[in-house]
Amino acid sequence: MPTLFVIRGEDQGSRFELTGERITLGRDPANTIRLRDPEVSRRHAEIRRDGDDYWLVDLGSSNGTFVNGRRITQHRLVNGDQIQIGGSLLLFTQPIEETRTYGPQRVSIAAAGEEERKSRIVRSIRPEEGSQIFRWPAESPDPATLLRAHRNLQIMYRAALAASLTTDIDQLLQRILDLIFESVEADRGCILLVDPETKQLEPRARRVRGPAADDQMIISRTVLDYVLQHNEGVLTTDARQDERWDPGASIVQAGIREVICVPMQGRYGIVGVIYIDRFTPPHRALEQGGTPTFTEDHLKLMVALAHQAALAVEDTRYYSALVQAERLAAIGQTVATISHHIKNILQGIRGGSYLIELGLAEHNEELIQKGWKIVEKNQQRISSLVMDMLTFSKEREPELVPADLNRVVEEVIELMQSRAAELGVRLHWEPQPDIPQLVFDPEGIHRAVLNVVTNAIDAAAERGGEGQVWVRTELREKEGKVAVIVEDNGPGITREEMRTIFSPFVSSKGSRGTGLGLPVSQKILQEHDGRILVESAPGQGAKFILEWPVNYPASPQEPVTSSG
Amino acid sequence: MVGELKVLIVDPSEDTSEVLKLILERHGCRTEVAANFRQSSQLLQAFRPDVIILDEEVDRSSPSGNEDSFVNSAIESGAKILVLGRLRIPESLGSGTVAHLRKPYHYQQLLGKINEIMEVAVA
Repeated sequence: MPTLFVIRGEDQGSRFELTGERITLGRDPANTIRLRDPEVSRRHAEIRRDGDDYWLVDLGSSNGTFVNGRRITQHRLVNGDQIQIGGSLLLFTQPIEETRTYGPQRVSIAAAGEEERKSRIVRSIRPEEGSQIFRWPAESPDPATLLRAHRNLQIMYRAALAASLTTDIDQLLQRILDLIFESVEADRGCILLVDPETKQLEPRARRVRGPAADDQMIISRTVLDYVLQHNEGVLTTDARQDERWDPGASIVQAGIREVICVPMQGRYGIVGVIYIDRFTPPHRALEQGGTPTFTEDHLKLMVALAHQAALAVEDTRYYSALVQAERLAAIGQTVATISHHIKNILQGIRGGSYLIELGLAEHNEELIQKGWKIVEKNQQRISSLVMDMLTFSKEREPELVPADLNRVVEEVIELMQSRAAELGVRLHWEPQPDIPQLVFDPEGIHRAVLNVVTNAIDAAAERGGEGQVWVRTELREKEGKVAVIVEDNGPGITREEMRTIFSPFVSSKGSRGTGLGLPVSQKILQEHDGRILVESAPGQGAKFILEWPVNYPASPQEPVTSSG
Repeated sequence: MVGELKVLIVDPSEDTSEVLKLILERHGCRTEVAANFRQSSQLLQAFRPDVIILDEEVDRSSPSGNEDSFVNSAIESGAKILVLGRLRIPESLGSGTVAHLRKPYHYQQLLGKINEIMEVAVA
């Protein structure tokens, strides 16, 4: 099935299978493929299926749609096309129609047999000789040589392109086999890679031409061993030179089997082998007068392609290992940070419980109440931590329903009034009165605003009794946006802090902060195609603007008058 | 032993410092609380504590660099330090001056640790 793979941009690493007749791409959640890239239009482009063809059509986007660097209005996609939409780059891949690829499980390595002993090496070359496919003869090259060199150059370019466009080793190997089959008349081909763990050759890709599609492909252990031990590409045949010109010779009567097997020489060693073979039946062998199908040029081309593939395999493995290492490091850091927060919360619960125990033993209600308050506060902290982790960790679709924004924000204000009072902070609520019902995720926006207001109160509390926080809503109809603005007169945010305020697990609040509040709020706003803007300078407080595109319900609603 | 001590609690969390203060005072200690290194440095001079209970979280809520100078001043004043959690303490400090207690801890463990470092100090 054709796929789009995002290789650059906000959604990098995402893969989309192109199912259906029309696939829309854009920033709006209603698109089949939604891109979070702010430079992408809401409905940017469309892929239309026409039989086996896929057409990319620009839908009048602001920034245009580009294929392989050229702006298009419509374009028939071919395998390997790079689509640029906004700042995102997507790779189109499609199984090649004529390709008959079969699972590598139908490849086996056989020990030397009677038939194989009849084979002999016609030519062997070192990997360095692969580069000779581009070399001109000393005298003026004939047109056929030039044409062949040009074709080889094209194949190598396409191999390099294939290597640069994918990080999927199996996909790359299949592409390499496709290229070989385009230029060499092989019947069967397979690629075996050395397993990094077991050091054994494992079949990874296979391709066949003609009716022998389902045959088990048996490849010669002797040839493989020779190639691996000598690090040489070999061309073998079971026909003997002197017998080729004798129509009565038994080998010609039985046909000719030719094999090319080349090492995949990478930077640090051999990563595998590429093996192709061809059987010429007796009547064809006679027609050809015994002329072999595989040539030295084919062998050189295969060696060069194998080297290119080997480098790509090494790069991909290195990249995968790097990603894995970074992932493990990130997991380790995450676990350590979460453990740290839980440890502090547990300590709080233990402290509260200790006071309750003391109070019970001494029948001291004041102590019991004090202890219970601490336990409750820590229970709230762990609940909040879990909710933030859930929101942050999973891909979720916002539950978009018509709701009253002022009511949602007012609930946050009500919830935070007692905490603000406790910290000596005055919390001001200034709703814009005429905001109608809007479509958004009320639970998500509640959480996003709550996190920002909590931070604002904590920051304002540092003013020691003079702290103030202002929360207001704004419907900016001309801009097509709605906003919740949270402002405080706290110490402000330094330039250094500004760089990390949206990074998970980075908090300036010590044990009071999990470092998840702002990343969670940002994620929720992004789910609404919105963003959080921050304006602050040290000593001058901070202003957080949570804004997202306004979305009205399908049927117009009367303005809702806020009670706040 | 614990009962005669002056203890400075350095902890940005009001909850945990409040519990610590209450428990220590119930055991006869005199206590002061600081939320950060700046406050604790001022109290070090004025209060002259025997023991400083230093919560690891103070490191996260104070500007970097303050920790070393505070710890050095505390050692010079003759106070013993009990670190709650993991806090980097200069290796140059001699053993017996600083003790560690992992979080979450029980309060009996904490009192035991204070006794332990003060006994070492007396010995």
